[in-house]
Amino acid sequence: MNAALRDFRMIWRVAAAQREARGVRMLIMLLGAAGTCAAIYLVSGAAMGTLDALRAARLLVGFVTLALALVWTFLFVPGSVRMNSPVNAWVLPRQRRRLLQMTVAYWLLATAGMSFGIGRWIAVPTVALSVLGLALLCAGNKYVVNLLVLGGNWPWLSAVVLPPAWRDAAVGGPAAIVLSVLVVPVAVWALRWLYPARGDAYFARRADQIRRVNHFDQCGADKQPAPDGMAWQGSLAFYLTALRRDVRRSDPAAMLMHALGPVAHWTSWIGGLVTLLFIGAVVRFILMWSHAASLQPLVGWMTTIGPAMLALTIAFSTAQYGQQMRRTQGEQALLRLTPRAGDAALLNRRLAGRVLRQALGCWAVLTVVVLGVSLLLDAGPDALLRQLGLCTLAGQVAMMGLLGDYASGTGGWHLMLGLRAGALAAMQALVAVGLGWLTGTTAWPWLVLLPLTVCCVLLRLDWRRMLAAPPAFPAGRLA
Amino acid sequence: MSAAIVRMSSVSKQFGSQRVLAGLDWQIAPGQVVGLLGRNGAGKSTLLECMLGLREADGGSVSLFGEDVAALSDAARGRIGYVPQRTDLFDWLTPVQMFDYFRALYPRWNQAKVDGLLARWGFGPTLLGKPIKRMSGGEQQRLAIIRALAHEPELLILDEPVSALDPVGRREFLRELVDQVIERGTTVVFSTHILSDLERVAFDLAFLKDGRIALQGQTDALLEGARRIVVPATTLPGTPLAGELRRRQEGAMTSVIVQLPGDDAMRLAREPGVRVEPLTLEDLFIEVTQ
Repeated sequence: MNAALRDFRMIWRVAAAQREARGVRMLIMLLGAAGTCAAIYLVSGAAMGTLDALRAARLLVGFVTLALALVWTFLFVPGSVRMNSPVNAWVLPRQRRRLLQMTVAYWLLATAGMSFGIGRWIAVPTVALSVLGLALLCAGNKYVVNLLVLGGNWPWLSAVVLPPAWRDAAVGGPAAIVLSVLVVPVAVWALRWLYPARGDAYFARRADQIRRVNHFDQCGADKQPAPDGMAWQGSLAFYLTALRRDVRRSDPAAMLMHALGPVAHWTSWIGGLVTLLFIGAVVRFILMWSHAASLQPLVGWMTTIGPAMLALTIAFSTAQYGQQMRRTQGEQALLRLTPRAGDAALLNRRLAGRVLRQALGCWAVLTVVVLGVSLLLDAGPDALLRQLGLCTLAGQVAMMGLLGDYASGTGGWHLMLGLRAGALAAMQALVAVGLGWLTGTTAWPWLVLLPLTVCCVLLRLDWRRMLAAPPAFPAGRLA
Repeated sequence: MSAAIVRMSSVSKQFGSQRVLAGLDWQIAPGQVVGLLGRNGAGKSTLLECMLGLREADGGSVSLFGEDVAALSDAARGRIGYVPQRTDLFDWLTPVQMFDYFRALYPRWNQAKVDGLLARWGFGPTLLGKPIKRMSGGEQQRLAIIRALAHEPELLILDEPVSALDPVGRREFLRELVDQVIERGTTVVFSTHILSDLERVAFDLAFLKDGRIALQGQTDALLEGARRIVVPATTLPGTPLAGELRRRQEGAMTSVIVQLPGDDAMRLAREPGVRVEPLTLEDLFIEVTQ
């Protein structure tokens, strides 16, 4: 093995070792599941004779490079960015040179493999830029997310905002040519951004960059992330108004919630809800536009898929409680020592009551907003019932990660609970289909009733468990 | 001696296979100012957290103000001030918002004291309107100290409270501690590695080693009584000397650390070739905790 290969191996090991074991396990499980699906598809295609050799090769290469891209982006990039600190970039130029060489080799390989997998030359520049964009995102670039969102939504967005005559050019050959011209300068800039040589600008951005890297990497989860930006400031304004009111009232239960920070406070949802309604209103406005008729298929797709995606927001709406519990142990300790925190039993009762009230309120309001957006998009009664069923099921899933023994670290979401919640949701869906078949209706009314019943039972059990547990603050101390 | 304000009896705590506290017994009387010393990882923070009930001990009992720490009354909690090692201070808030929050949680709150300390420690209007997360480590530590003093606690637990402060900040803090806290009769437990600070304020010292309080006593008495006796190995008796803390072979000589040397040590000191040296607090720290 020559010196360069030895360096590459060493750098890979050091960078990958910085990822938390839990994150690596999750990545391996994800890849294993995706690999199994791909293998089943390949084998069944070959057995039935529906998959020719070229398509099979494309699928295989595409999957392998996608796995490489995921591993590289989530396992290697965060660690390598930490390694190339401003000081190391200056005193260890060889390390930086090797990092650049490795990244270029990976980028070319991933672009070629994924483009071959897709099977269309027109996709090459898009793939090349996406691979770089993902790496930049995990390296803590705060602007690239906007470009990725714009790029991901460009096919339908261009259809909506551009005159019909321009649409083909915006997503076809001319656009690909423009992107091809941009690829090389963008790649040079991206590589220099990923691994800068030195300089005051690098020093100045480093703290903010590492905070973002940690956020994506789920490292340093014990510390409160410090979000920033206009949206955060807006959300914080609502939070501070609520804080002033709670301080005036001196309500101990409300004061408890402030120890978890603004991210876990109900006010953090206000901005999101307003945005959802705004998007619904904008789409409604577009529907009344001159060339709206040609957009009907797109709008139809949005009314079906959009609210279903919004229902997922409900399913994840309780995730922040567990995270914030782990991140604000210091604040919880200070609060626990105050006279108004209450004794162990009272603290847990107040916390459980407050969290439950907040989560149920959030579930109800989000459901109303999802149905409201659907109404704005002219959804019929069937569609509304379907969306209500999805929201109810999502809410039942969300409530499973709400109450528990936070002192022992078993409260909040974890992998096993996620699997249990998924299995329970699937079971309810099957039962609803069966009941619909038996009663001669659809599954949707049952998918409203069943999750509500299950949710009541589970919440009652969780409530008892949380009240019997040691005081929740500081969370995770008995783990 | 009046009834102990802190009483820890046979307290043990283990993290996985690592035993941090091993049957620790400790009592602190009202008005006592104790400096807690120990090496990094000795378990000082764990000890203080167990003392406050922020961590459950695996065994033994802890009481504060005569109450079981697991079931402290609201009134007892209101008599405790705590500066943790890591200043987790609701860093999304400004100092003014943070103090307003805590004022609502304490029935007794001396706002004049808060304002006075903020002014004396350089918190002008600009700094008071700045989010805590944007402040330096020293500024955050000052705020944590002010927060802990604001409700005039009767028991003040300080876990490395000056680690992020510059010498001027440390001097100001110690002055405040002596003038406003210790002179009022507040009981203080003070963990730090800055030994000169301890010599200034701590009337008692306690050394934590192997999960127990290995040595405790009044600072002056400990320093006056502690001696290193360097003696030829052949002259030294095999049995430990009275007050012997540690014995170490250094070539042909043996170094013996004694606390309050007894007659045998005094006799030994008069032997030819024997050297007796006083110990500084740093020497004592190294000898006791190593």
